[in-house]
Amino acid sequence: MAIIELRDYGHAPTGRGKGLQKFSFSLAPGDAYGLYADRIDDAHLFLRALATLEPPEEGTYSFRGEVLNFSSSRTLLPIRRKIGYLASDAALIGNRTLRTNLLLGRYYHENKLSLGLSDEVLSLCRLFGIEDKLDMRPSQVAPEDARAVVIIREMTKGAEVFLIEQVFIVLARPIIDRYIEMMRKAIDSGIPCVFYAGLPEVDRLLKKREIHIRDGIVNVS
Amino acid sequence: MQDFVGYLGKQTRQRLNRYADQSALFYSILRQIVVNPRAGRSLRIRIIVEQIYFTAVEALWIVIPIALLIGSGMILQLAGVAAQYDLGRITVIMLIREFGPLITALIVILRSATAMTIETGYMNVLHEIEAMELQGMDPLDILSVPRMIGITVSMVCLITVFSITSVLGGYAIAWTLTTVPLQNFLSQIGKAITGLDIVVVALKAIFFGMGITVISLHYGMSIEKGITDIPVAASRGAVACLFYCLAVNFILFAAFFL
Repeated sequence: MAIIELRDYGHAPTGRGKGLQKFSFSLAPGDAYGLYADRIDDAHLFLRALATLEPPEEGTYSFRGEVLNFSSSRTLLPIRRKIGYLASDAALIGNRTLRTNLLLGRYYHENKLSLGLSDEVLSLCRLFGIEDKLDMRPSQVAPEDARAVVIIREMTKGAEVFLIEQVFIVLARPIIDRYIEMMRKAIDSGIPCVFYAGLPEVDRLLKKREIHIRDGIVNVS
Repeated sequence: MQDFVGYLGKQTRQRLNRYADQSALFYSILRQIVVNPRAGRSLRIRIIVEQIYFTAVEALWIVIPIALLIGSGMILQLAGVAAQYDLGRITVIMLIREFGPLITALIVILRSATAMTIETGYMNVLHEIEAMELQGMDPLDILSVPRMIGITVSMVCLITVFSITSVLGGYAIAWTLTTVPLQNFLSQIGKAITGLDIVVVALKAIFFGMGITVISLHYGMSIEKGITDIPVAASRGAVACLFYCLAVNFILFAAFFL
C-alpha cells in the first residue's frame, strides 16, 4: 500500500517554474526516487506538494489511503510530522539554541520541559561535529552546522517518508559520506525517499527509480 | 473618476478583508485558549512567562519614569485649578482612566508590538513557521496563544503600575519640590475613584492587550514577499494598533460614561 498517493494533482507555477500539470504519483515503502527537473522551482514545488505544504489546486492527496483535507492546516499537522522534509530553505527557530531546536518537538508532544537529548541525537551531533555548539543560536554557528541540525531534527523525528532537497550543497565532504550512509540504511529499512540531490554520486548510490519534470510535465520511470 | 471609485473600492475591500482575517485570527486564538490542548501546555506556559518578562518586567524602567513625569506635571497643573474643581476626581479621570491606559498602550506598541510583528514576519519569510508545522506543532499554540495571554497580563500589570506610580509618585514629587497646596489629595483620590473606574480601566487593559497582539501577529503573518516588507508591516501594524486603542478607548468611554 502506498504511503503517499497524489491523484490527478495539479498546481500553478511558483517562482520561475512552469508549475505541475495534472499527474498521478504514489510512494510506497522501499521506494527511492531521484528527482530531475529542468527548473529548480518545479522540483521545489513537487517536494513541497509531497510534504503537504502546497495545497493541490486540482486532484487529491492521500496519506496511507486517507484523502487529506487541506482547508484546515491544523488537521495536516500529524501528517507533516510523519514527513521528514530536508528542504533547501529549511530553517531552525532563530531565537532558540540548537539544543532547544532539537528538543522543541518533544517538548511540545511529550508536554515536558525537563527532557534531554536522546542517545541517538547525541551520537548524530557527535557525528556531525556540533556537540560543543548545542547551546549556541543558529545565527552564531556556520550554515553547515545549522544544516546539520536540520538534518538531525528531521532524521530523528520518526518520519515515515524522507524528502531531500539539495541538502548536500553546504555540507563538508566527510559529512556527505556519513549522511549518504544514513540515508541508505533508512531506505534499506523500508522508508521511502525522494531526493533532488544535485550530486551524481548520491543519485548513483541511492536511487532506484527516477522522476523527471520537464516544462511542468511529470514523468515517473 | 472611474479610476478613483475603483481605487476606493479596492482599498475598502482590502480593509474589510484585513478586519475579517484579524477577527478570524482572534477567534482561533480564543478558541485555542479555551480548549487548552495538553500537547505543548508546558511549552506554552514557559513562553507566556518569557513574554510577560519581555513586555512587562523589562518595560518597568520606561513606564515608571514616564508615570512620574506625567503624574507630577499633571498634579501640579491641576492643583492650580483645584479651587474650582474636585482635584481628586479630575486626577482619577485624567491619569487613571484616560492617560494611564493610553500611554501604557503606546509604550507596549512601541516596544513589544513592533518587535512581535518583526519577529513573526521573519519567522514567516525564513520558513520557521513551516519548520514548526513539520514537527507537528501548531504555530497558534506556540506563537499566538502565549503572546495573547502574556501581553494582556502585562498590559493589566503595567497600567496598574502606571496608575499607582503616577498618582502616588507624582504626588510625592509635587509635595517635595513645590509649595502648591495639596491638602487631603490622597483622601480625595480615595473618595473619587469608583468601582466603575476600575472596571473600565481593566476592560481597557484587556481589550488593548488582545487587540495589539492580534493586529501585530496578523501584520507579521501577512508578509509574503520578502524581508524588505517587514519594516513596512511593522510600521503599519504599530499605526493600526494605535488607532485601535484610541477607538476602543472612545467606545468604552461612550459605553460607560455618556
